[in-house]
Amino acid sequence: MNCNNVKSLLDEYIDNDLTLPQRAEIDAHLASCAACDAELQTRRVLQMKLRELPVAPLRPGFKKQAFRQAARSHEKTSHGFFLGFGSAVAAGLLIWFGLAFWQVQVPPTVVQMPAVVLQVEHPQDLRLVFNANEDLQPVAFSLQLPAGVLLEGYPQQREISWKDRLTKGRNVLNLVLIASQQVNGEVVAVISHQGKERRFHIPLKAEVNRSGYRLPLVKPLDYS
Amino acid sequence: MNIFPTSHRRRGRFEQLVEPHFYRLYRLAYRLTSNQHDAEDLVQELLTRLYPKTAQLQQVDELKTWLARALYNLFIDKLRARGSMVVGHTDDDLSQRLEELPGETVGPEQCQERWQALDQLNQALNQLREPHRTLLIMHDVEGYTLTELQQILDLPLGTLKSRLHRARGGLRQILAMEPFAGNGRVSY
Repeated sequence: MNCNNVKSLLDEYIDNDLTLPQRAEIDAHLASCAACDAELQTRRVLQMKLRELPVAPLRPGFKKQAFRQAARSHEKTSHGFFLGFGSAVAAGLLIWFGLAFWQVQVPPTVVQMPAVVLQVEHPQDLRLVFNANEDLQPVAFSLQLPAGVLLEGYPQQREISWKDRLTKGRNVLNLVLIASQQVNGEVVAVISHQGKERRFHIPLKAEVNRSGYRLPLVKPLDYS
Repeated sequence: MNIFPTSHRRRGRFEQLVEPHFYRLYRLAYRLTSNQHDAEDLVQELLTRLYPKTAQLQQVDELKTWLARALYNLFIDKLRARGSMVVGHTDDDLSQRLEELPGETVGPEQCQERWQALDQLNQALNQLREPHRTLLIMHDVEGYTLTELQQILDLPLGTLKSRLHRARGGLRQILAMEPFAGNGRVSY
């Protein structure tokens, strides 16, 4: 190898990205060529200096603030949805329905809801808003999901039950649903209080997104 | 009243997933934008956009690489939206970093010299055209491997290698052309 050949391979030499015979040839050349050896040392120093380039330190409190702001922005967006049911539905991101709750007495009442459409493998928010005319406690909640749909944070569970309370006014049930396959079923929310029960049937469909699952924010690059 | 506080749990999960990569993301953002303010803006916007996608993040195998790619794409989006993003150091950044340089073992003059050498290196980096600059920043400065960069930049290995080769050559050429380099070669 002459000097030009060696210099053209010095980066790969430093990166350890050469075959053993190539490396051996370069080693032999470097042993007898001070100029190429000096060039190698210069490049190594440059590599080292690149790693040393300083970074302005994180502003104190920025990390905490950044996480808080990220959550807050999302909550702010969600609150805005109470103001515009039509636009929320049109956007296809959130489904909202408010109900005058607990005025109807026994027998158990069934309420039908508009359909929710999910994309397979694409988590989607579903918010159920219950308007209660008074504080109610205790209240038993139950959520039944169709096969192929999971609730974020509750893998493998198709029925989730818990006890809580309802306060006078709006009560929000925040759900993040993820469909693993095509589904044509319904979510059933059951709320019971002092022997009375209300059932909310929410038709749910999950369809395959024709564009396929994509990582968010990932776009092709167009430079060459 | 939130009777099923998934938002609270989501925030916990989101932080749990992203926090281990936070400083690395900030460093990359700083390298790309070259100033603290834009770097923080970039990271903040990334977190804000990713927060509603916490469930998707949980499904990602190589989160470090995935987040770097998301950050880079966001940077490119902003770059395109603005026409160009000002890449360079503000005076505040410069004085702040001067203060950070170690002062115990070297005197102020040596410190100043060292700073100048690093600043010249930074300026040379910023003179590279964008694909080369980004690749050098990610590979030689931040230490992402070529395998990781295949995913981050969505480029085949061969293209990355040849581009890295050209980028390093370009940087050496810029440094050698600097008037302060002396004898056609920069001193570090």
